[in-house]
Amino acid sequence: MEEQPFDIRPYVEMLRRQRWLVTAVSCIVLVLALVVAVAWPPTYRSSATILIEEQQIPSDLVRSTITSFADQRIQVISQRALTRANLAELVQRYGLYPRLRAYQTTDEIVDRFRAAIAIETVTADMARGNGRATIAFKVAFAYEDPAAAQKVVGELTTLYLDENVRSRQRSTAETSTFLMEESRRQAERVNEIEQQIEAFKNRHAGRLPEQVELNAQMVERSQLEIERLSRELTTLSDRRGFLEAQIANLADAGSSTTASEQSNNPAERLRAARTQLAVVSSLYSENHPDQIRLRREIEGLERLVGRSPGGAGRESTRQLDEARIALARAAERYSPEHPDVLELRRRVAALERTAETGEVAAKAAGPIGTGTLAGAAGTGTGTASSARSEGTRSPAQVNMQAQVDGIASQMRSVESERADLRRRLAEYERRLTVAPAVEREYVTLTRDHTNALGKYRELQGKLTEAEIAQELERDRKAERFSLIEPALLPQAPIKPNRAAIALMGLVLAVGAGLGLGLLRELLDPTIKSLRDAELACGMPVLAAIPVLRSSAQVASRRAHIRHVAAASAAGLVVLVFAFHFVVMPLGVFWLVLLRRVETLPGLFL
Amino acid sequence: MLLDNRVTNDAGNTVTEFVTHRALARSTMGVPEPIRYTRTRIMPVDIDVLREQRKVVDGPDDPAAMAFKMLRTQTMFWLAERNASCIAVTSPGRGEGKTTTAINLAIHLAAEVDYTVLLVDANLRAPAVHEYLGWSSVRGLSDHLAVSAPLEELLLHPQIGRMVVLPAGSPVLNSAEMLGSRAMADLVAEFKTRYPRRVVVFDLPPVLQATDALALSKHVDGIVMVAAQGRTHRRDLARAQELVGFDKLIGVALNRATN
Repeated sequence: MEEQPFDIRPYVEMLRRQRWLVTAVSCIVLVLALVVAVAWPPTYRSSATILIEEQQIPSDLVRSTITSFADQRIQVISQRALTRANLAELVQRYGLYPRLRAYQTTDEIVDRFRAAIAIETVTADMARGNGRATIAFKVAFAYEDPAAAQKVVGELTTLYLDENVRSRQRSTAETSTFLMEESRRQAERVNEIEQQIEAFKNRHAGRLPEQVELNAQMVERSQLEIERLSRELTTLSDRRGFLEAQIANLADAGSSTTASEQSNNPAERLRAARTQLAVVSSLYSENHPDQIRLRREIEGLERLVGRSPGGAGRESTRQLDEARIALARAAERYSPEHPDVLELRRRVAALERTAETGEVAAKAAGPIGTGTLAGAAGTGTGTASSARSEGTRSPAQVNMQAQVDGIASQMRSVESERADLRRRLAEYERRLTVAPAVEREYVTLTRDHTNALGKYRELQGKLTEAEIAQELERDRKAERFSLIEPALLPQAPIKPNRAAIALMGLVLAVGAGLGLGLLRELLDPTIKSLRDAELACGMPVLAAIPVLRSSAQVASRRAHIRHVAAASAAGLVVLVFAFHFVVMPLGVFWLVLLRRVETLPGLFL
Repeated sequence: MLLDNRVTNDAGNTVTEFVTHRALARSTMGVPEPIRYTRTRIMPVDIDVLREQRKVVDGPDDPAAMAFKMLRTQTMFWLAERNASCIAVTSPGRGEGKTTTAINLAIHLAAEVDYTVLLVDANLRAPAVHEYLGWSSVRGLSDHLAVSAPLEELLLHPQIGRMVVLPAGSPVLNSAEMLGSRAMADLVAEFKTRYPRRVVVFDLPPVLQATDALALSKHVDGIVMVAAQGRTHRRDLARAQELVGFDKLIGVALNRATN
């Protein structure tokens, strides 16, 4: 058996052998395809275009608080607008998918609906090569009824536009609210700090940093004043000394001195005791036994010596005590040449003299006082002062004594003033000492206050901006959606492409027929031709004997074919009748067919 | 033209593609003796009915008859080459037309001037030849092998040319053993030698269904394998060929051919 080049004959024979099968299958498939091409219901598509308009007012002037990208926002709005509730409501309102209602749940129908909705973004290249930006988007819906499709798209666009406005306004309002809240909180904080500062100022009045200079001035002034007073005191003391000397001179001229009895008379003893007390009090505490003893002694001596009922005497005694104490302290602290020490010594001496002369003056003052004093003085031995006081006085002495008294009282007042000033000076000095620590704390508080205030101002600024942005939204001057192409009534269906289906059906039919024929051939194990036989037995066939049929057999075969044809025809008629009564009347079918076929030319493109 | 591979002769008549390129050599043997069927029983057949039923195909313009003639010629040539005279007709399976082929081959062989034909129905399981020829059950080969019935009583002459038929006889179960027996061998030997120009045609059972064909194939000189288009499986044909052996295979005749 020689090798032959590709010979089409076997395939042609194959085809011939299987002609019935091939034809039948091809016809069936073709018919089915035609049925599908005709029967498939048309789908119409309506679409609307929404433009994304930019903000009209330049964003340098007013910045919007919404910063997401347009297509991101479209996605979000899609989620909000195309909710199950909204879509279910639309299905209800326009009676969509009526045939599905019978056997599908609302959820499934809504899913179907959503799948038929298409949102397509339209992008454009941005200037300066910043990529692509979305400038518009299309909302489309594909459905079997064109009118319903148009209405639904209209509804959907409304949903989108409304939802966009709503969400933008909501967003800006939230921003404003948030900032308002934050600003209020910050104001509270500022108030808190201010209150703290006020309390602090109250607590540390006088010690505040702003008062440091004042305090220093006061210190200096006080010191100057104290010096002036001291000088005044000195002057007065001198003058008194001089006058007393004068008096003494005059008194000495006509009185006997009893200096020898100085140590024994109670007044002397009292003076000594008082001096001692001053010393001891400067050394020891008040509860020291020596001090207590001395005090008791002094009390006794005082009773003995007698006091002038006049306040001046008591006053001068007290002053004397004070002066003694002060002197003791000063002597302890400073050197004996210190002006304070010297001055105090002079004062003590002066007060002692005053005390004596006061007693003398008291005795010489009135009968009652004199009587008492005299009585008191009489119990003890005569004192030098009493001796002096009982002596006759000349008017000049009296005058001078009066002057001395005047000076003494002046001195007292000056001293008290000085002591006052000294206290105040100490106070001012103390304030100056504490000032740095106070300042530190004060600075911290002020700094907190400044920070809080700054932050508050900042928040206020942002709040103002946010409120302006809100206004921008309300006036629709920010970026907005606008409908530039409303949904139109679709004239022609978008699918199915009937011509394409028919054509494909034809191709499929031929293919199926050939394919099945080939398959049957290949699966057939029998010998199908002379060539086959040769191939099988490896040698040329001796003879090819045709089928031997008697005329009776031939006749019966013919009858058989006739019967099959008749049965097929009958079956076809039954099918047509069934179609007419069960599926669709033939007249209607014809009209539907015409209508469907009409749209064919347009779909060829 | 591309699809038309038929070969035409000068008269424009077509013959099948597979024209043998073997020369049709006539036998060089001499004129045979006339046959006198003195002892063979005559069993007539209704030849017209058989023709009408297309069981006997011998019309001059019948393409089927021409196919049988072709077969006859090929067979004769093959036998002449080997100086043989016994052929068997079998097929891989049942219903592929071997009985028809055997009978018609025998008839056409008998039409040859030089030869007489003995057609033996060796299908002892399911004898078909007698039925084919319209005879009711008769005694035949099985009887001879079983009970040694004399051949003269069993041979039948259907009056179709110079042909004698030995029916199968009663069906037996152990046909294979019978056919492979010594008696059968002797019989075949006698067949070969009895008349010098007599071709013996055996109608055998299918090769792949019983071992009968193989058993007898030892004794015959050549085997014609009949295959039916649309019925015989290719593999079966190949297998049958293998079993029979290529040396004894005269060739394959394709029955029910369509082109």
